[in-house]
Amino acid sequence: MKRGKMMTPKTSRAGGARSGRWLATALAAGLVLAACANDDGAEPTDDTAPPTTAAPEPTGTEAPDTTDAEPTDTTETEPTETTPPAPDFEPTTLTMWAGVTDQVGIDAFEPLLRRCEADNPWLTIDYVGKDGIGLALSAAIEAGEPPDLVQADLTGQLAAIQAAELAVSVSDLAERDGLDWDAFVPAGVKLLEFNGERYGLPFSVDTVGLFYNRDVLDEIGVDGPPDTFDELLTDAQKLLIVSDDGAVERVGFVPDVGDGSYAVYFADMFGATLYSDDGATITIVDTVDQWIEAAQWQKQFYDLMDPQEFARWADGLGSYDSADNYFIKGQLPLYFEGSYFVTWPDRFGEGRPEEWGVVSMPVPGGVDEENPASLVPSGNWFMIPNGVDDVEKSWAAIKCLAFASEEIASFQEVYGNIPSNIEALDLFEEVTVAKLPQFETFVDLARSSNASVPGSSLVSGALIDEMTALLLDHRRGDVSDDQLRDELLALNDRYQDELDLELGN
Amino acid sequence: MATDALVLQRRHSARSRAAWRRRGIVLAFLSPWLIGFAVFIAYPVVNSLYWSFTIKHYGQPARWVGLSNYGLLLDNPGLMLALRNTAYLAIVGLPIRLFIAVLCASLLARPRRGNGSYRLLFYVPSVVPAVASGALFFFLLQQGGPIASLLEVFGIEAPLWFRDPAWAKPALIMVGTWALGDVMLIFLAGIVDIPRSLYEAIELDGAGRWARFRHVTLPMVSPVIFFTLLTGMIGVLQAFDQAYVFSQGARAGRLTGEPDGALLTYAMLQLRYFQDGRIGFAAAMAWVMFLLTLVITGLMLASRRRWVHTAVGEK
Repeated sequence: MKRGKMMTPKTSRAGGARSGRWLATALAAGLVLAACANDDGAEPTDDTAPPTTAAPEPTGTEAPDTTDAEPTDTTETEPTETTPPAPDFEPTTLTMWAGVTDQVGIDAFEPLLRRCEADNPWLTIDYVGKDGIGLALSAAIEAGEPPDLVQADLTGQLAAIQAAELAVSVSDLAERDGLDWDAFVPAGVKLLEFNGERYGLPFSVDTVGLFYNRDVLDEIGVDGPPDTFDELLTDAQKLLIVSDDGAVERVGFVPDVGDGSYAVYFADMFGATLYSDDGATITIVDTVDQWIEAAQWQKQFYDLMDPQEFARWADGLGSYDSADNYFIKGQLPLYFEGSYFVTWPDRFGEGRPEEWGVVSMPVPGGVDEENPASLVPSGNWFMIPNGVDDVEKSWAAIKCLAFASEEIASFQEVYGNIPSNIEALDLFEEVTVAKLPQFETFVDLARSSNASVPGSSLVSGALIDEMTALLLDHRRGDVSDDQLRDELLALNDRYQDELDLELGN
Repeated sequence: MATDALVLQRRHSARSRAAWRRRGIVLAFLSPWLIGFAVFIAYPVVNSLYWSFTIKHYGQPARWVGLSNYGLLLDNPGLMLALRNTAYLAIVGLPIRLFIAVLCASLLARPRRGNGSYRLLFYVPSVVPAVASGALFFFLLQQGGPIASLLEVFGIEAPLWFRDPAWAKPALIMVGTWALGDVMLIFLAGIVDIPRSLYEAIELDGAGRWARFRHVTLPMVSPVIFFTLLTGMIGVLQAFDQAYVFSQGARAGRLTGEPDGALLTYAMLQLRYFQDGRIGFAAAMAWVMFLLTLVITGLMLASRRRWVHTAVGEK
């Protein structure tokens, strides 16, 4: 989902002496540990997009009316009635680690910080952009020097966060302060919830939809984007262009351009699951039929082409974040992607907004227009690390940040993710969607109560990697349906053993 | 007599004190390294051994589970896949790299005009960071890239380096071979050090180029070959960066070693578990790799006498 940065270690070449071998082994472990940067950062941003300069507008903790929200007055700086009273603390500087590390993003984030400092005269926020926050936070807590607050995407890591007690559960604090969780979209809250505890306050959600190139659809005489799975397959067949020598020139639709990045997530649409809500049980065995159905569904798009020719096509695609992007160039006219991609064609192509659109991805039961099934593979939230000097101060700071609706909306206009705060979402819809109507679908998906987010377990990363590799084998035809079933069941047993050991069961 | 004994005793005490003082000074000078070694090497090594027998999460106390981590690791199919890939790189890639390095070194060892420039040219790639060279070759080898375009001119269809399991590892070996400057330099030093008289003697016996290389150069640089083989093997066992870059190019953000696991290395497998915060399991992996390195190194050392030339009097 995210296109974050990864640090990569340099291979150590230790000498042949005995001490060298010891040193090499120790260093290898250290370097690999140092290299464990996750995709915690948010999406890359538009270099040319101006950062927001809107004046601060305080907001409250009460749930806004989402149906007829009024735009806020951008010149107003006095707190409104809904703003929580500023706590009376000694002047304090709080260090905040954030996944936004590029200068454009940092500049766009700046008004959010200043707004909260203005609302809380005791507060100064020291912003530290950081890649790989998950591991850095672990190390900082282990060393007893955690930051005071964190803004990051730690999707799927809540089991590890809970097991290692890396973050403060804010459930009790929220209840004490009467915080209204309905002020956020359901998916935003789900993302930070694990085993009955909530680890922070929502900031943004990454929703995904089906991008379509209207010009290319017109070429094949199709009126609009597909509504059903059958239509999607039919359109993919019609859109496919294979030259006389067998070379693939255009692909109608494929899940994740063959790289497997959505292979596991797609299975969610079929009701397949990896683990139970509490992350303690591997549930592949309970939904093995759904996994196979999802795998078959994905495979049928690849079966339309010769695998080698498809691989050659995919290998020759231009860079994702450039004018050579395959969707922009019309090489993949039906494209499953995240909301941030809405800014791509405008940034890299010419005149695209008139020629393309976004709809909800068709799902097995058909699209529910009122409450569409929404896949939210990741999102960002504000969190309080365990071991901070004063939880109350950090809590006051993240409350302010999560409810600074106008600044959040302005930030996401630059960044392209969807605000979790409903008031911010209303503002985003009013301002940003007016400029880029393709965002509308993502706003609807974000509001949906029928949203699914990735679960979490102590074996998440390794399990998802192995599942992905297995589904890719199936797509290629290296693994039959029966073999897939056997492999899935074996995976279930092996990971359950690993999980039991981790949990001490 | 008593006075003599007293004097002797005093001298002995004085010598003893001086010896202790010297030892103290030596230790004082060594202490920065000793402290550094204890804190940054010895302690982490011992600690990781302990953790490998535990379930350990960041910030949490470790829970003893005996050999369970090792048992689960041996059941992990990724382990065999990563070891197979590593074996391929070691058996195919390493000899190619060393052979070409010896060849280049023996060509560049001859005194001729422009040799300095050639040596520099061959050495420069080895100062390029491994990640950068991986990214560079990814650009060069991909479909529509410079190499594919060049091959197309001659009517040759470029292989799918990053999407065909059969070509992924050769691509990795190619990058490793490109950056052979460091190894070549070691060979060059070894070859230049060979006494000229040995070549003159074999030439008198009527030896040609190949015979000179086979019977003089190779035996004389065999200690260097042994050293580079040993360090190269350790490097291969720890391979990560370029395989990771190539795999990332084929597939975003995961550690599956695509295409089809052909690029999955042991270190990539280990990174999975670090990312899950499963420190105990990752520590067990580190110790399995250490034991494997120990065994391979031991076997190589045992084989040394059979093929590594040692000068008279050397053991």
